[in-house]
Amino acid sequence: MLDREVEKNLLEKAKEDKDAFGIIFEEYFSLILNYIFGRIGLKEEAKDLTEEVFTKALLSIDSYKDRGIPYSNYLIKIATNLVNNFIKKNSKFILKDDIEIEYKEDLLDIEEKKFFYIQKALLKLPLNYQNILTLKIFEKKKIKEIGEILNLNENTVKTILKRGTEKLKKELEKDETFLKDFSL
Amino acid sequence: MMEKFDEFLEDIKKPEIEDEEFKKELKDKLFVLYEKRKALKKRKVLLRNLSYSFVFLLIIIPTLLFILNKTSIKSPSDGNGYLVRNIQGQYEEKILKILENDMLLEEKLENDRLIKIYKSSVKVYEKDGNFEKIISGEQNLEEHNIDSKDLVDLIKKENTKSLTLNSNNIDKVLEIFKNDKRFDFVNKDTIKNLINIDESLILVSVSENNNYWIFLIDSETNKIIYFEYPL
Repeated sequence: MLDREVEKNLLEKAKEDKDAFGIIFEEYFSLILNYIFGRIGLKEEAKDLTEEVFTKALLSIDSYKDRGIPYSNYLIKIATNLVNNFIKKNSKFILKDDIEIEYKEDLLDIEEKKFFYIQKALLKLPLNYQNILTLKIFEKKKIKEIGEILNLNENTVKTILKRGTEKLKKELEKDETFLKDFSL
Repeated sequence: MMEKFDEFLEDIKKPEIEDEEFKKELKDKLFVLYEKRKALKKRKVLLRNLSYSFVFLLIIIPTLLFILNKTSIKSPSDGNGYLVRNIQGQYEEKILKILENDMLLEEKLENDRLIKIYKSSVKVYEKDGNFEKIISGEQNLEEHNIDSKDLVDLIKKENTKSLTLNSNNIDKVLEIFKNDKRFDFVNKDTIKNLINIDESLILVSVSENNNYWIFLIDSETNKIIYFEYPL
């Protein structure tokens, strides 16, 4: 992650200098690609959405104003909106266990398996739970940061997080293969 | 139970994917887009500047020209310039009213130049920025032993705006011109209109060989002011 001051200067410079924008891209490309991949589990689609995120970021660079949140969170915010739209349009397709294609079952270690089950279960929850739980569980974001990204106050984030965790647990408990591998 | 589940979630490590080829491709694409955006921005700035210039040309310059024009006409340049100013000051409004209602003049509106004359009182007597071909002036009728009050009194009796041309009033009008050789074309046939503008001012319009003259007889000052339209 870039230092906040360095990031601010780079963003200002990026309005007129493509190389400055290039540095920002290099810095956050992986973060955004993996955030999206963590949300939908489809590599090619994750790449398409990543392209959309950076295109939007580039086109809005002139009007971007630092409102005290790191640029990475601003990009995650754009990504979240795009991912939500994608899930709304493709929910049936995503939930067909296609995500398993992205992993080679025999190569999955225990940690990866865990992730895979959680991801699958998350996709069955309403979007507002998905948004918060993904940021908390996969991205390890703090409550305050989640609030900033999703424009929610901290109490709302906490409430949704609590309810969402319960729903996620129930969803996992429905999955017999998960219960075989893990005990809750 | 939930605490155990929370711990379970905390331990989760997200597998990372990498795609250097895609990263490079996307970066190149974004750079192309960046250049396009820059060019578009430049074009927008150029367009904005052009529209400002357009507004400047359309509003500010004509306004400045108008002001300059007004100023230049107000400053005395030569005898005719003085006359124009003089006529404008004293009779401008009245003359304009006459022009608006004068059928003879309206017939000649087809001439572009004349349209200018009508629409802009300021330039009525101006032709290509000079007065060379426009004969205009003023003379004191006393010098010719003429008292225009007689004429005004006579014409007032008719009590109408556009006066009937009859031998009485025509003769009176002709008296004014008879001693001045410059106006030997003013006769019974060439006088087209006598208009009683107000109690002391009479307009005589004269048309001869496609030339159109206006004489304003002011009984208060006993002066005649005249000018020819450049038709």
